[in-house]
Amino acid sequence: MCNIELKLEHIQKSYTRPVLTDVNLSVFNESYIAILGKSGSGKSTLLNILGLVESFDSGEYCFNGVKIRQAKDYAKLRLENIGFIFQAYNLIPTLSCAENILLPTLYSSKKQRDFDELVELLDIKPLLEQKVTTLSGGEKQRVAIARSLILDPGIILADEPTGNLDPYNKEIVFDLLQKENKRGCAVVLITHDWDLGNKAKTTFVLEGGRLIEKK
Amino acid sequence: MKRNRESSFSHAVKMVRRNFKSYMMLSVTIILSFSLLLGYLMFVDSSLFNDYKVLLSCDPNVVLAYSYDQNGYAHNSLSESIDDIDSSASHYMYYTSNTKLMQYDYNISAQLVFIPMGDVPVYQYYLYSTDKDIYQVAKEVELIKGKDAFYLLENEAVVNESFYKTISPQGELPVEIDVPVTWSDESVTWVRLNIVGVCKDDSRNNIPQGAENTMMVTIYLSQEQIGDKNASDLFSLTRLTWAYSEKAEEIDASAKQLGMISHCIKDQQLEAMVVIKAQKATKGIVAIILMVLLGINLYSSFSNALNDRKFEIGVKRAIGASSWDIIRQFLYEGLVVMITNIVLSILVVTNIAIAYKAYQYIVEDVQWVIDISIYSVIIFGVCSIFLTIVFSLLFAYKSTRIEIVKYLKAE
Repeated sequence: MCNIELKLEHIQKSYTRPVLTDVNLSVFNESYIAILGKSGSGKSTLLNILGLVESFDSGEYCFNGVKIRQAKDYAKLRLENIGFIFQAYNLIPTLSCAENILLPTLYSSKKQRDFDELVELLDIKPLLEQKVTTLSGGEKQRVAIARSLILDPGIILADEPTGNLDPYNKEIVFDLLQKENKRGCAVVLITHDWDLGNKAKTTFVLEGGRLIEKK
Repeated sequence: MKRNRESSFSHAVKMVRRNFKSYMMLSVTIILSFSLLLGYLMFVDSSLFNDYKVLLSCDPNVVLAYSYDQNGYAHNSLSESIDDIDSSASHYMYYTSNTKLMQYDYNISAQLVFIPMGDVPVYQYYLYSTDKDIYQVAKEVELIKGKDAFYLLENEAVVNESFYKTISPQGELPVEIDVPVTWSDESVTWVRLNIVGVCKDDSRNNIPQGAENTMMVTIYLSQEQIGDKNASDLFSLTRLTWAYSEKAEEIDASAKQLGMISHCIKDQQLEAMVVIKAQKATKGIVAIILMVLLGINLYSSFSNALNDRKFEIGVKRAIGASSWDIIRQFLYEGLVVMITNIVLSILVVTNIAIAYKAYQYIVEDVQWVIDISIYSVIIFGVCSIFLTIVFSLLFAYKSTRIEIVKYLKAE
């Protein structure tokens, strides 16, 4: 697992109105951060900036010592360091579960995690050859988590990972995130769910474009 | 369970298969457009080839001049002219005369061709027409049985195939027949001939429709059969001068000056080449127009195919695929789709051409030859390679213009 040291300083981002006005955040391997906030408060935007899929207007962002500039693609950093988990799963419907899980390995020569062990961990072995369209929400999310973990990332960015799940599957996802954090993988989680948020080591609320620490 | 890393190319091939529906319209566009282009090129080439195959296969150095003049002065003068024009030219004179053979169940009109002694090539004129023109070509008479050269002794003869089958159903050689040589004073001399060779039928030997009991035959015999008489005494005499020279056009001009009927193969071949060359230019223009139309179709079809894939691209980019990874995948996909469909269009056109050839053979009784020139192959190759590279690259480039966040949210 790779080392993670992320530092955001005075990050600003506007669309038609300012969304992030002054965000400061540091993330390390042991971090388990939950970010809560109202809809439209900019939580997903912040996660996208952290995940290098969206640029910011001003401020400084250092990713493992690399100073992130706007309008530059950091695909390799994203590929080898970040595991994304989305509320809508974002699995490719034309691929089977196994193909979705192994997709990141197509683009990286980095040593992948033991596939069987990961499949065992997520209890998705019977699903591997199935099309993702035939799966339930919980099953889809477990497949999506397996995909995010296959290259053994240093940080997991999870955008409402339990938003569409029943309590049973919520618990499974939460346990997994905790297990990964214990292995040394940083977790940044966006959620509406205060119960889930309170289980994180650090909880922030995004309000008025700023992060306010609650715990 | 061992899971090997997949190569970019095999992933691209897999994605083409899995996204078959998105590629349907594009594939139909490619197959139709390339089939249209190749079909046009092949049809034009084949039509030209079939129109001119007889003319272009003729030896351009042959001149066959004929006249109905009884005394042969023109031919004697032509003989001298040929020697003056090209002292190395080969030439000789022969005669044809018509007669009727009455001893068979058929009403047989025979053309007697009196050829000189010695090993001489024998040529006959054929009229042959294309959609646009009528040509007169001189083709060497082809021996198919018995003697392998027109080296005829005094009482020997060669006849055409269908006549031979009538007089010798068992297929034996030699066969003896008595032939009347008719003179201009309507007297007849019967000569006994040994049929020692058989030549292919030509257009003159076809039986006219509605005259099933009629037969038109050709009998080649030695000029020695004229005996003590003069060739000018033969009934319905035609004199022919055959010449072989690299200065065929000059000999042809000289024959015409002497009032003879002569058709220079070389001149006719040059005229045909002008028509073929004009078709070449037309083909180039049509290819460019088709390429532009195909380009417009391909652009919109590739764009549609890409629209269906924006979510996939967004996800792949989000999980870490670089622009180059996406370019490579869509470049491979573009190449696979283009090449597969171009190959399919070649198969479609080839099958249609074969079906058309079979139709021509079965229904029209015509040996239609499928032909495609090197020039057409180059045009098709250039169009295929150019459009494949340009649109695969464009497809790949457009694939990187996808905003990751926009399409992830859009699921």
